[in-house]
Amino acid sequence: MDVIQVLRQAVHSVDVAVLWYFLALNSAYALLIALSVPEMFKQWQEATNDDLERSMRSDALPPISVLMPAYNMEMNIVASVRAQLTLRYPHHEVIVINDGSTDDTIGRLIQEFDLYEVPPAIPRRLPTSHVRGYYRSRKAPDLLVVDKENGGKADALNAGISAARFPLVVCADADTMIAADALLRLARPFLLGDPVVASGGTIRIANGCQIQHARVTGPRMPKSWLAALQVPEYLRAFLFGRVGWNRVGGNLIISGAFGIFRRDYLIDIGGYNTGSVVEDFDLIIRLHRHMRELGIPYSIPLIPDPVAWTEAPPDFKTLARQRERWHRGLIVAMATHRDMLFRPRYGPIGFVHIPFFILGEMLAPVVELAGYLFTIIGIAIGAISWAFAGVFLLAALGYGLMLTLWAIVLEQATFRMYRRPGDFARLLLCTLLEPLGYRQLTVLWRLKGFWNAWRGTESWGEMKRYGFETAET
Amino acid sequence: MIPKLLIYFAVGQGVLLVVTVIALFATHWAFVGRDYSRAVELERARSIVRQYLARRMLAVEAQAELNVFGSHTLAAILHEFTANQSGDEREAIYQLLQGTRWYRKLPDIARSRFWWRRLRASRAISTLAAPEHLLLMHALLDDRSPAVRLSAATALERLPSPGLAAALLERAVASHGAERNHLVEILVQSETLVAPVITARLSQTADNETLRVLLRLASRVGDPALLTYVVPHASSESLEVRIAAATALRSFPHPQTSNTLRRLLTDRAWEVRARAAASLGIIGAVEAIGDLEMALCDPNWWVRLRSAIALRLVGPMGVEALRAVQAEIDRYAFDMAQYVLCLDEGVMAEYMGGATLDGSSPSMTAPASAMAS
Repeated sequence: MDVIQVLRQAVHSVDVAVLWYFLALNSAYALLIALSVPEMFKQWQEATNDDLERSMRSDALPPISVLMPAYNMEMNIVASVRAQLTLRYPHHEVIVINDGSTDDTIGRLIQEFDLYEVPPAIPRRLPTSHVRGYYRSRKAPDLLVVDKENGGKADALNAGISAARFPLVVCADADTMIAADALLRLARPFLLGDPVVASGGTIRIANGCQIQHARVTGPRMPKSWLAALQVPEYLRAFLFGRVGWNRVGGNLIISGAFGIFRRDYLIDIGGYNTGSVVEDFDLIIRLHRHMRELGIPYSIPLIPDPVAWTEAPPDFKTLARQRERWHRGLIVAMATHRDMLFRPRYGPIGFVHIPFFILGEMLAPVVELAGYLFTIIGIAIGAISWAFAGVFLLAALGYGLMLTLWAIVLEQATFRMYRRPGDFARLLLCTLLEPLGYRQLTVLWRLKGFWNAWRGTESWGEMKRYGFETAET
Repeated sequence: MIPKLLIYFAVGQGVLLVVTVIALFATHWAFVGRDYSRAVELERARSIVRQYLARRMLAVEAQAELNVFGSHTLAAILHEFTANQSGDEREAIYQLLQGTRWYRKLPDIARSRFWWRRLRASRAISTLAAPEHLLLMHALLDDRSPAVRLSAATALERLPSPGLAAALLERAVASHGAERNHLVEILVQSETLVAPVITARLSQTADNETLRVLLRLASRVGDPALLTYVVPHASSESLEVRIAAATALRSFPHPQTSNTLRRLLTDRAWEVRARAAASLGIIGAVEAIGDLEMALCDPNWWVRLRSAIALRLVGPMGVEALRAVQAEIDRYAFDMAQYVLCLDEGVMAEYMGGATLDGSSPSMTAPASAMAS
């Protein structure tokens, strides 16, 4: 057997292995879809009722502290705070944590809400960087502003958790637009007696939507193609990627942009990890670990109907940084919590979630790149046929595309955010275009995450925000 | 080169892809169409109900027209109109809907094996319930779906039955957190019905968790007749029960309450002493000023805080007592008195509020804005 023959055989074997990997991975996702269908139906049935409206008129719902870390948000901070203060919920407070902004964020708040400084008398339950002052508002009694030195988002959230008075805290980015009834909907599992320790809502893309007073009044597809291509990604991630996990021991990710937590458990685990670049992901894994180690029954579900809208990066540079950071964070988190792997005390987290995230999420870009390269090499040296390459593309891309389409079927059968024919057509078009070029770019960005994780990079990189004004139509 | 299995897979997947795209379009247009037809149907149903309420249509005629519509529309009409109407008009809507075919089918739907159908029926019956539905409501209160149970609980407003109140009370005792709060809130709204049930249970129960719920409920209902049944629990062996009793007593401003709370100020547990002090402040027990002054020297910080706040709440005499505390006698009592004297009204209100997930109050944590001004 000559060298070429051996090479052909090796390339062919790699291609077949990659093919089976994608078939297995996408089949796992298909299983998640199958699991998310009854879960979506259940949530949808519970969501379309007036029981919550009735509970609005009583003191039954637990009070909530909404935490908003803000860094250089001078442009949007006032509108954001007003939007959070006017959320429909019987009893909630808003805590803005100014994380050492270098612009006039604190000045805008002082001016607009008539803030006055109050001496600190808050037990510091979590260590944070130095807090410069606490402010109360003469105009909004439910507003507390914590002004602190810069320590990053996790540090700001920890300061907010310390300052919170209520047993539930909602962590929301200052540039996230929470739907008016989202808190009510997030509180539903608590009302139904579920042992929830954390729960998340659905994040959708605000670019292109009609926005008034920092609130989305008309969901629309983004005008920018790059932002629009992220819509099917978000739908896929939230409507089956995460809802499906509700039925397999709970979620491993609650988005940092919008999630609700039991404050006592957050304090028990020491709050957010300030050294992590994906503090939200790390926090949920530690919550799972804590609850499993103590043997307390719990759930960490994703509730699909409470919606928060966020600005998707509309330029390649910012998007690349975001995806690189997400993947780097995933790698670091998996490495940090590798001791949970296949340990019976962690139940499905150790036996299903973490193996899936390592094999299916973390290694996916490596395998996908290998697949593309070896397919090209295989065709060039005659190791594989064009038919095989076609089957490979169908398994890697076509199967994935079909799953995304099913996520949209689920969305259409339940919440139907994009009702206008134009938006629906654009959503469908973006779904079909996503595997052709965009997906390969994300593979490259995610691979860079491996490199930076290896180098020990800890920075977030500059995340350019364009603000609500530019997103408004 | 390619395994047969993969070829089958490729062909199957191609077919499935086409089916998915077709399903997507079909779902989209089907649901858009359904939304439109439902909106039209709802508008027609609204118009019929309005005509009936304006007495331009007889009940029989309106019912005959409403019978054409599906359960979705009639349920929407029920919830929409009952939320916006009151008194006679609301009763007229109940009578109108009770004559429809949908209403007659509701008990059957409520016994469906599918939880979502039971949920819909439970929502409708809890609003429209008639005495003949009492047994059914009991069954729904024990349903295995929490959403169904929660909906059924609201029937107490419509069906003032002591049996239903007792069942709801049992359910409240068995539940936790926000669910328990919700049930307690429903029970509180029917206070005349609930007070005798609480009375009976308070004197019969030995279970501490049940007693905690009952004492909280007694506090919320605040019926003076309950005081006699609350006071004995202030001497309970259980710390949790004594805490609940000390908290509950704040709803019964009476000399007997004051005496009991003054006794609790010397309880062996600081949690009880702190709650007793807070309750004395809330009932404005002037006669307890001396006891509260002594409690200001308590070794526990929370007891000193609650006693100082209580003295401020009692009125000018209490404030005078706070001002009279001297640093030479007790430095800690003096510091606390100075701290509380400087609190603004907002912070005082926050101190009296506070919240925990199970609704117990006041919380033993400082409010976020607890600061001297």
